[in-house]
Amino acid sequence: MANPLFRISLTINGQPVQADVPATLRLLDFLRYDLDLTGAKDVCGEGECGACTIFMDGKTVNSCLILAVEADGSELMTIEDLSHGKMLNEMQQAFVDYHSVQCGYCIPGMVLSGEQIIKDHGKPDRDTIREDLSGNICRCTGYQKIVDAIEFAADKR
Amino acid sequence: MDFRTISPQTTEELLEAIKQNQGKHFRFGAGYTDLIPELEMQMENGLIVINLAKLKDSNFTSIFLSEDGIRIGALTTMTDVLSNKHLQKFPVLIEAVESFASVQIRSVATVGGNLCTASPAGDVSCALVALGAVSEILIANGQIRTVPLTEFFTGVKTTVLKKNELLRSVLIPHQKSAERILSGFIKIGNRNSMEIALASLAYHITTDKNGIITSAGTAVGSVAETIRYTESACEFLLGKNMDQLSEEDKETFADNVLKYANPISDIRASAWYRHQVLWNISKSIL
Amino acid sequence: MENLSTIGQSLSRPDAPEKVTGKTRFLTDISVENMVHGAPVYSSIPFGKFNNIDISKAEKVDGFIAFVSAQDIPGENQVGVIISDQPLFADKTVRYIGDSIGLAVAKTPGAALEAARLVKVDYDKKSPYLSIDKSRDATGNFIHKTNLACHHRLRNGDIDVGFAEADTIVEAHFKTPYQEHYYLEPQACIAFPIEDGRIKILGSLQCPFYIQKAVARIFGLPNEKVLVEQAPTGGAFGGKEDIPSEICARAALAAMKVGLPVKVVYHRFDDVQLTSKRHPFQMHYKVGVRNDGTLVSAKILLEENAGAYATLSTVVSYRAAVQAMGPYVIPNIHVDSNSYYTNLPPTGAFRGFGSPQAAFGHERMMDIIADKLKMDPMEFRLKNIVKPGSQTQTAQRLNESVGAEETIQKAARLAQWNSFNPDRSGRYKHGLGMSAIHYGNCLGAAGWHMDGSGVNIKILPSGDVHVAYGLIEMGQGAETVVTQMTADALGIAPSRIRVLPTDSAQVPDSGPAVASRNVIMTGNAIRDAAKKLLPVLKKAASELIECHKSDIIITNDKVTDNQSGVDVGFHELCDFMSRSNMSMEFTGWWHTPPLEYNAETGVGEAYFTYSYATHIAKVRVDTLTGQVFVDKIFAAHDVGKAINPAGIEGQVEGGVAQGIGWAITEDFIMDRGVVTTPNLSTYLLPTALDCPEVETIIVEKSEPDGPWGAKGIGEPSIIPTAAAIANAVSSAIGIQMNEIPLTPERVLNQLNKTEIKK
Repeated sequence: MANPLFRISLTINGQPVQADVPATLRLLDFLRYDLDLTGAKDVCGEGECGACTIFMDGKTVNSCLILAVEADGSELMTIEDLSHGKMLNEMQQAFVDYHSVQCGYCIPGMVLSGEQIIKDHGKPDRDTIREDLSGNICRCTGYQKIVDAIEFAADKR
Repeated sequence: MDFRTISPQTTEELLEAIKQNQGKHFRFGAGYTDLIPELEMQMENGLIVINLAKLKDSNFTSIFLSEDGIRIGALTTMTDVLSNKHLQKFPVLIEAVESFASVQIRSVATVGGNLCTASPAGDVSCALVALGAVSEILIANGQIRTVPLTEFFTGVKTTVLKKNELLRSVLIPHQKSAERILSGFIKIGNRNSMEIALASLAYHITTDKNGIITSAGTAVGSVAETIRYTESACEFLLGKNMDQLSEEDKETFADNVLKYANPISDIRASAWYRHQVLWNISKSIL
Repeated sequence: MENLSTIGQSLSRPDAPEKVTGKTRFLTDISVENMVHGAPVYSSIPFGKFNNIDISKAEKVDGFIAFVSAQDIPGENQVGVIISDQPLFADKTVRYIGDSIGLAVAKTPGAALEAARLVKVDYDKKSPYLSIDKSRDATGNFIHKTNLACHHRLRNGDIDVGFAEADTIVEAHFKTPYQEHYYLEPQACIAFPIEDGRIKILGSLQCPFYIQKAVARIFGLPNEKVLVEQAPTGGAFGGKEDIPSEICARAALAAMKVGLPVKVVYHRFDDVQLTSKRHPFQMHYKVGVRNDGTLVSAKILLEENAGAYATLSTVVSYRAAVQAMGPYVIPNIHVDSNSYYTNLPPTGAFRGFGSPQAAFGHERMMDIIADKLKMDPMEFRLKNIVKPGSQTQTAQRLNESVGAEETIQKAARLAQWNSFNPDRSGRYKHGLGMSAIHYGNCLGAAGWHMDGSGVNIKILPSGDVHVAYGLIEMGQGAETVVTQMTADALGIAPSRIRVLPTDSAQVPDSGPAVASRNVIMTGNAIRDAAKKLLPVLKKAASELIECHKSDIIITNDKVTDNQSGVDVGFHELCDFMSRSNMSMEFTGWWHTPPLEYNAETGVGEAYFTYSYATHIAKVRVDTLTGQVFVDKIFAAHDVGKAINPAGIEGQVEGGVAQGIGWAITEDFIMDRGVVTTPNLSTYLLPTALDCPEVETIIVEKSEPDGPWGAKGIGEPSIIPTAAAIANAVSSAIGIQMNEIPLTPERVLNQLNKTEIKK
């Protein structure tokens, strides 16, 4: 028996999107495979690593732990739209300038978590940045230069 | 993984969905932070998920002050708890939420989800048990019944909830006015964040102006089949002077906490470790 | 004239803008037309034979296309990279849970996974060997012809005479655990059939030429019929050195069988169960020392768990053996380094390649001896440290670029080693721990025959310069330093340079992108190419400017006639060359210098040069819980010359983080051959709260054979960390911690054993 489909309507990166999806479809897979928005990555599938982080209704969430049907009516923003058509936004530029990137697989999630940290704390100290970054795993950098970039971007804003 | 979802928007629709599906295999979905990995592992077929994410009922979704205490809706998220001004006077709860998972998970994981998952390691559940909170359960016929959280958990991942019921809210009863509060949450893990507790201790103790302990609530996590309220440890403290506890008193308190521990050994830690560390941290809080 | 060279400058990464915007397409993000998917079918028992493979249930899965197994192999069923002990698909015998049986191919990844799970295999089980001790002591029923996968030895001096001269002899046992790479992007590749019978591989990989040879061997084809291109790769750390060879070969077989591109992305549980990890070591050290702290003799036994196949164990074992006593002078030394087969996942390359394990042995040993002698651990190290003119433990004379001593002194100064005097009466015990290491650069004597690398530099009419190289970018910053070195070698702006994705068709076999080789190998190859290219450029410039070619200077992106002062832009010169129909493509090649080394005795020049490093860890131990908190790491590294200081800091900070994971949080557990920590909620990688601020100190002792004086940094960054932490913890609590990871339980257990508590 084929899975029944559910109609969802949502806004993704400022564009209205309608789709018929099975209840089982994860939001991450919907973004990556149905919409070809591959910035969010699939690493752990259990909310441990933050590589699939996106903004949903103004807050960062793990898109691997959300069903597409659950996102019905929501407003999503993915890494692809963070700079709103500009080359790089301040956070992204800070990641480049502070040498925060190595392999880059965790970086879209890190950049978005950096945005959330500024939203929540304004000008956070390094310990606060580390606290709130702990849902994003990086295997390359040891986090120090990522903390540097977020601290700088927060100061600048 | 194969299932259908129903997304009720009102309490009436919700109750109807529960009634309609009594003969079927269904589960509730709220924050989904545990549900999706579980479904991926188990590949249950024919499952119906009653999705609570769209429910618009403030009893479920809000935190508010009432005559009998502070009521936390089951669908309030961990982020909501952290930012609520009424709840700041319970450091045990705030610390438990802060130690819980990540920013991303806290913004979708719900208080009700943490309780109904009934994990012996539930951080927020442990804090609520220490605070003497009461569960308020909505029955499909529209009535409410209440069960103290000390009796809410019946085993690993099981609760008193029946198939025609769901958790609507928890009530933290008003506490006696206190001169001093000793309140906190200690979570022991194998790393400094994003951990499932190897052992945890929630405590909320109040004294009068002379330092006499007037109320004590302590609960332990990850050391038994369920979160346990450590009643005899709490009773032991009542009436004692907080500032004059002897080394022996502190050890008797820790011994009493341990009466509720019956830990297992697993890949995270041995029963021996959980036992020993719980005793050590219990003694250390006084 | 002002020099605009970026050597020594922290040029920002050319790949960063695409990575921060999510535009980079890693292999897992790539889809191609008509692509189908493969999923591995593997042994569910640790050791035994199988008779029958039943695919009848798998065939019924919606979307099932094919099942590929040993009988589909046209060439040799063998992927052993050094020792030919590993069939691509198991040939009747399986040797670990994860040993390959086949590949299920289907229209979707989900269907492939489901079909793979439904393939039924009948086994005759044998009793498995699940530990080094069981494997070593076996008398028959071996995993291969014998249970000893390989052995390396070092015999230098006379240890009996040495021990007789010693005033004190100290013995200790050490144990280090597995470590899983947990690169965030799993193993992944796409294999394409090409109509003329060639095969193309696009992969998340570290060593394109390994894959080329492995796939060619499986098909019985000449190497050049296999084209391998690297896609942006989401982390590797050694885990994508040899393992992708087998995955790509299976995908290639499937692609040729079904005539469509086949993508294989390992599900994380499969990735962790099937692929290689860091070798667990058990080590026995016996070291003799004089009362004044002079090391005189050492007898060292290293035993390594190689898992089911040798893979790269021989070279891991070699490196551990020749570095077993660290950067110290010791006249008499015997080392035996034995790798044993077990019925567990194969172990292989992981950043440091046997060095972190050996470092744990020698650096814990140095602290234990210092404690016995009541000497300061730093003074004891400085007493024995190698200096210019010293001989290493393999009797190799070190002449230049020996910064070991300076790394100790600089790290100690920054950490205020001499004034550290913590109050240890409270619940939290503080400690400082030091660890000093040396690391042989490139492949050394054991891999000398393949230690050459190339580049191909192409000048375009626009003035842009394309550089193809044989090593790869896996996050470590290769593209950035290749850009800087090429720009400097040609005297042009880095913005002109584009480093191409590594492609086996563009460059000769350059060996593996391992052993911290990139800066040295590619840098020297760039210099070689520039040597050929610059005369051509100058000659062309002299024609363009109409001057003498010996007067031409190319620097700061300008081509100048030094006599007249007339200059032209580099792009104008390129345009002129193009119009004049001149050669504009140049290759460069470099091979490591010859080494005199006796493989029988292990004596001689093991590596042509060494990187040196000292880490000092500052820790806090909670005596009530056993938790270890790393408050700070001071890391001094002799890198010869820092091509890109920020890139070096990034390597050090990342290496330290992985070292912290290995030392404290990453507890890899198996139960009868099944990994019970296969995901990120059970295998705990360090988070931002587990990694401290790292103070990196760069020491530059120029290496004459290094480009611009540079040496490698990728691996030295992780090697000292775990030992430094264990030394700090041991010093804080006054108990010698000789086994890692230092989980709260292990630490509390040791505390309870020594202090009588409740």
